[in-house]
Amino acid sequence: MVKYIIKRLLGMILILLATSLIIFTILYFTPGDPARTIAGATATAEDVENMRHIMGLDKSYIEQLGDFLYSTFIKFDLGDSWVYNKPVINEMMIRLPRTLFIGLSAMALNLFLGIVMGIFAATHEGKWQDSLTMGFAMVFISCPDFWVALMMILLFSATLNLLPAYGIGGIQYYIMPIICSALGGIAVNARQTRASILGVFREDYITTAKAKGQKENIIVWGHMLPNALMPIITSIGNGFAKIVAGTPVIESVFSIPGLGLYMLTAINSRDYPVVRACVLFFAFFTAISMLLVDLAYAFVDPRIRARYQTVKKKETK
Amino acid sequence: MSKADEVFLKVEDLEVIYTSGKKNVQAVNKVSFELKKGQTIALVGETGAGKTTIAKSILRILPNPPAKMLGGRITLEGRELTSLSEEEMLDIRGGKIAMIFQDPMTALNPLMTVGDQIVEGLLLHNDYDKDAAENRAKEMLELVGIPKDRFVEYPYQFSGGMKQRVVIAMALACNPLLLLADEPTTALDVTIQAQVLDLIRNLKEKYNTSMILITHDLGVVAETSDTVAVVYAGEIIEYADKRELFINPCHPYTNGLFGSLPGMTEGESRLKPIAGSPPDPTDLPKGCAFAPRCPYVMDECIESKPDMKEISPGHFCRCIKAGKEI
Amino acid sequence: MNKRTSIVRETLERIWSNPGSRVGIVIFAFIVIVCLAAPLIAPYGVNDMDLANMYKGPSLAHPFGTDGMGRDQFTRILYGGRYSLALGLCAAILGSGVGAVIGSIAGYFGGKTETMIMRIMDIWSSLPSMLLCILISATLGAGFVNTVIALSIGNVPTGVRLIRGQILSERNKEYLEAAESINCSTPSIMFRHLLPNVVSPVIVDATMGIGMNITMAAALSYIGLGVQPPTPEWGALLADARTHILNYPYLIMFPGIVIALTVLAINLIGDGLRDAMDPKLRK
Repeated sequence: MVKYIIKRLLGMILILLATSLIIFTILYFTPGDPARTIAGATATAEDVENMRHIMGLDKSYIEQLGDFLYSTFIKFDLGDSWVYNKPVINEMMIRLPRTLFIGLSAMALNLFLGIVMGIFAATHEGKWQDSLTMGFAMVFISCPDFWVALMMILLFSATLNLLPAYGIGGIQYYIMPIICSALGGIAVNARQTRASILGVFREDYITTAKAKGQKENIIVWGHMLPNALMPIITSIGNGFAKIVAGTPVIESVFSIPGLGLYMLTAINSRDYPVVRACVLFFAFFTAISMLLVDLAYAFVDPRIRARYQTVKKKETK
Repeated sequence: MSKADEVFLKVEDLEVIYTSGKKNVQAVNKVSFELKKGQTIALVGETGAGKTTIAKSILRILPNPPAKMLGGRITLEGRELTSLSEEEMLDIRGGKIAMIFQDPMTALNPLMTVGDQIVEGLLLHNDYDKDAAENRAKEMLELVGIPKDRFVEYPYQFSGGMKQRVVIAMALACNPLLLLADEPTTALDVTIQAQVLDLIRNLKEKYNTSMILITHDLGVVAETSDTVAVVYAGEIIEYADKRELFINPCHPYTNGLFGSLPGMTEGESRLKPIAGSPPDPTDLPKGCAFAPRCPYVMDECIESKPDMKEISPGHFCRCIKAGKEI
Repeated sequence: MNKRTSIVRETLERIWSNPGSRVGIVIFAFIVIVCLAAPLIAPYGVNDMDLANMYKGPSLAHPFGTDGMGRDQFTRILYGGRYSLALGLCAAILGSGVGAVIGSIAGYFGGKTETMIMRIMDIWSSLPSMLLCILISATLGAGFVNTVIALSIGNVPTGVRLIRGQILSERNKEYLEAAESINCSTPSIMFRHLLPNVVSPVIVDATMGIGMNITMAAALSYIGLGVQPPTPEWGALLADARTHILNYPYLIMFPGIVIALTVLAINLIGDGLRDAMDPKLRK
């Protein structure tokens, strides 16, 4: 198992390298001259040229790429922001906890509520509880998350005056962003959970468990859910990726100074070191959640576990 | 002696339908039989005749919907099972009555170790703590011929025959009074079949368990059972002591079953299949269900359903001609 | 050929017989027709300003109210639907189409080609699609075509994985051997024999993709990328109105409701399509 994880972590480094290459290339070919933007509107041609030299933009593509990869992966230095002239990592560390808090809470909510709602619907198959839950899920899948966010601001901030609409502060500032990040994923998960639970409903081993005299509740949570879990895990993994990707938009709606908003601002001000660092972080976070998803498969299914540790199994047989 | 002769399980007028869309399928139609302590009754019949449904309705584990028990009484040791609450039924299931399923490949939860699956039932029906339950489960594994260190292995690490042994160990772990064995050998290789059958028979004798054996294999019936009920289209059409039935089969369908059995000693070279196929359960004939396939059919058979007749003590048959010369 | 059409027809009948997707079809058809016929239906011109009637709430004259330049919101939503629907449709077709072609190549040739393509897809999807979309959109700049490209790029890996998975399970079936044994050429096997058999999950995915792309396009516009105001694309309408959310909530409410309704209709159709095309549920 350890071996497998190490293998996967090595693979992750490769993916991150490739992502760096892609993001660097995309930004390199983005039209517009960052040096001009940063030097300011009043700068002379000479000032801009100077700026280009300072920023290293006068070097060739290969040289610039080399510099970037070298400092990122060998020196672990994400560089300085072109706009603020400060190390990107400092600003990231300040913003990271906010983004992480929203992301992880949304993931937890996604996981928990999605499964509970799905099981609730599946165990009431065909009854009104099922239709209601699935109806809600369908609606929430269809609503754009940033629009739901705006509507929530209207309702909870403007009308009911319960929650702050913008910015950061206490926990109450995070409630709406977390819910909005999680909503779509919860709905997708609930649908997936319901479908997979219904898929194992009539399996023979469920009848076996019933014939043993096991209680309905334990059959659902202990026998059906684990067997239905594979596609649910996949859907949860996708949900995690969606939450990560939705960060910039959600942070932008709620004006939360997290990494997503940092990245968006940096895109607009052509502050490429910041963009690159943020994208790398998002890629890293996605890769970690994908690894967790794969480990979760192994945790649930002994057959997959066995495949991960083939060496050990041969010894015992 | 008198204790052994007591009726231990009594099924009366059991009726089950399956609903699919607007159609109703009469899966079990007024089935009645009795079972004495320690004895085995075999339910014999073709696939889809309703045998498994009978067994599952005794445990009340029929999937509802689509299945629905319309009527009938099932009495175990004087207790009426059909009127018990769901909670009371939980004690019966796996504790008093256990079931062995047809297909061992799918009957075990693939994500739990076989040990845990046996322990699960043990903890439900006994006052064991976890260690005691594990010990008992290991004992059961050894009893069915599986080394106890395989306790921690998963179903995918077992062969089909081994899995069926696990299922048997699981069923017998709580010393049930009644064992429902639903085609326990059908999915297995022929060589394994005999072993598994022997195993069931020995364990049954050891614990004096009664058994309802569901099969379509008359060979299995001959080896294992005391009484036989032949099931056709959801009805018992012939019901007798095993010996009596094998010597003196009375219903044309039973005769047909024997005719489609390959003989080892007789000089017959061709099997005699029963012509036609079982009736469409959504559209059962008005009269005798077997009439469309019966070689001796008369107008009377098509018009009205024949009653169950006792043609000799303990031998019942649902045929107009029963007891008369054909 | 005759048989194929009967399958298509059967599928359509099955979709129609599903009440959920029937509702979806009706809503979606209504929205499409109304948006296409915008010039006939719309009470005002799309860019007609009426400075005397700025920020008017919903009324008989302006059912969805007017914006900061006195433009009729209802009219703008009708016209905007053409952009939003076209964006969603084009991006879904382009993304799934390219994905299907690459996926077929990977699945059919197998071996090194497949490994290489799948590794590339791993990298491609190491960034969640919305993020990739934001970056590409920033690179390409605003505009309809650029947004279509940005949206579809994120859809490609899903399409590739879907169709490859499907081909893997079909690859060893006998009808392919039969086709090979009568000397069918490779493209002919791929496109005439294999593709029709593996295409149904891609169609379902592309259908759902339309809705997803409409949402993503709106989000892009909202954060200042993609299609920009004064184009009345639905997301752009929201972006336009976002600073006025507290004062003029109806400017946010109506475009959002229309987006949600459209996506809901598409998802309902997609659900029905999935059920109708599931061979396990057939008959």
